[in-house]
Amino acid sequence: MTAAVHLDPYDHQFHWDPYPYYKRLRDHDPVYYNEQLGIWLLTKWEDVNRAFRDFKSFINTGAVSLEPDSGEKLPFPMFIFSDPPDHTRVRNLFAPLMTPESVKRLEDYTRQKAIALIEPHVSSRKFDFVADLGCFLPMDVISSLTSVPAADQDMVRGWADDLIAREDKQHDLSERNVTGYMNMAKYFGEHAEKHAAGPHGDDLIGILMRAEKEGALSRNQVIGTLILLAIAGNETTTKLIGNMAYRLWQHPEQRRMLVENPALIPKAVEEVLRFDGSSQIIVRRVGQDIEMRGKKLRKGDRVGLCIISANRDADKFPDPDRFDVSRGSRDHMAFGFGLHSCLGASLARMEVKVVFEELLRRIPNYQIQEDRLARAHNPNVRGFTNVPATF
Amino acid sequence: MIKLTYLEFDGTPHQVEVEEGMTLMEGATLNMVPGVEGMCGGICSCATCHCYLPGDGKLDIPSASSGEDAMLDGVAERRPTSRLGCQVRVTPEFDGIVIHLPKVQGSGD
Repeated sequence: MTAAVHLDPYDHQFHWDPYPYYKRLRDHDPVYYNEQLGIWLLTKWEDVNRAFRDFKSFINTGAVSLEPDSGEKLPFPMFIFSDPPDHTRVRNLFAPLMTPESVKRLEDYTRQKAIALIEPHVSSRKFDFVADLGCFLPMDVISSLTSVPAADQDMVRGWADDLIAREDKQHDLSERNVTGYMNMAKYFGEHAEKHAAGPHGDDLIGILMRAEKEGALSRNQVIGTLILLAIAGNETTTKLIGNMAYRLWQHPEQRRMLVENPALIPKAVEEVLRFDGSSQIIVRRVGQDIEMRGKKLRKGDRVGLCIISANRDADKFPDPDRFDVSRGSRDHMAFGFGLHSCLGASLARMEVKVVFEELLRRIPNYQIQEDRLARAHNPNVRGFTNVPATF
Repeated sequence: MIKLTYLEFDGTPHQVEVEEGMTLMEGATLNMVPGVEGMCGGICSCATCHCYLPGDGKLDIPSASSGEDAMLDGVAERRPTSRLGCQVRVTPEFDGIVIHLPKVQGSGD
């Protein structure tokens, strides 16, 4: 038996390179209990997959984020915090809008926005993949579906950033977190009021307000959903763009393959999702007493599903620490798995594909200034706030 | 609730109750029926909820969209009755029908 492994998902140092910590847990204590936080962490692909599939033993009500009291402090209902069949009914309102076929209609818009964000920097030979592009584009695209005007988008994004920011080893929600959330709630409350009378189009805001009118959603659920979209449609894709830029810089031979053959980019996106996805941990509660690898998990216990660890599990992916854009595995769980799987997965895939098609065409070679990389710190979402490069 | 049966490839039947408006994928996964993965959660992007509808033409339901049709091109053993379960909403006329499941989900690679 080796020395006990300790993992604090709030430790800023851990965020820089969590993979060796996760490997130690997978090898020595794959169903790990962090006593200080009172949370189990599952790190093997098989265990995380089981937790995603078995929605009765691993429930979302009262879970998803790491802080146990987030439900009380952040009171607007989001369907991500609910379970079937209620969850399924709400989710089905939006699912038709999120298929690859529906998302394809946003591709031209996304491409024009991406080009407009890249072009001004080409002559200056300096570019920050997140601060100049990644932070703007996903918010712009999701806002095109929720009718948030361009003039308001930086403000909403600022509040979303406030909500997720965690100081080093900050285990509870801070005033900044709660204020960011409440600012979004106030804004989206007014936004819903503005759109309540219609006309209700076929976009997200139209679907939401029509559902409210028909009694399928309460106003607070509408507000909660709009907050959820502003976070989920924004933070994770932003960070995925930064992670992809960073990994392609670390692996220039792989980057060259994409420059020479852009048709490989969708596969490369899948490999970045597996190798360095931006959704690190998602939380469930135990719905009924269960046993995993000899450990007894009691009803009500909180369980962190360590997605980025599962995606580096050698029992699932051969040579898991090798970044290989031709691998193209789609059974990574970067978007979760099953009934709660990320509704915006196709949208995220499309956005990141389009961004790198346009980026690599204009900036095929670049040097990231590693000493100037900066991170957002959050136990659920993992990625950079700044990825500055010269070329 | 609508009663329908999912029949695994090996002949194992699973009679379940499904709420009207849910999809065939949800009817299976909410009842933990083996043989339906539903990996992507119903956004028509993984083809792991492939199933065969009755071929007698009695079900009057919308045909597959071009996006579903393209995904079905990638599944192992596509037949004329193939559908992705996540794109088929359960209506009262599904009561009593049998949905056959394929030997493998996805491309079978």
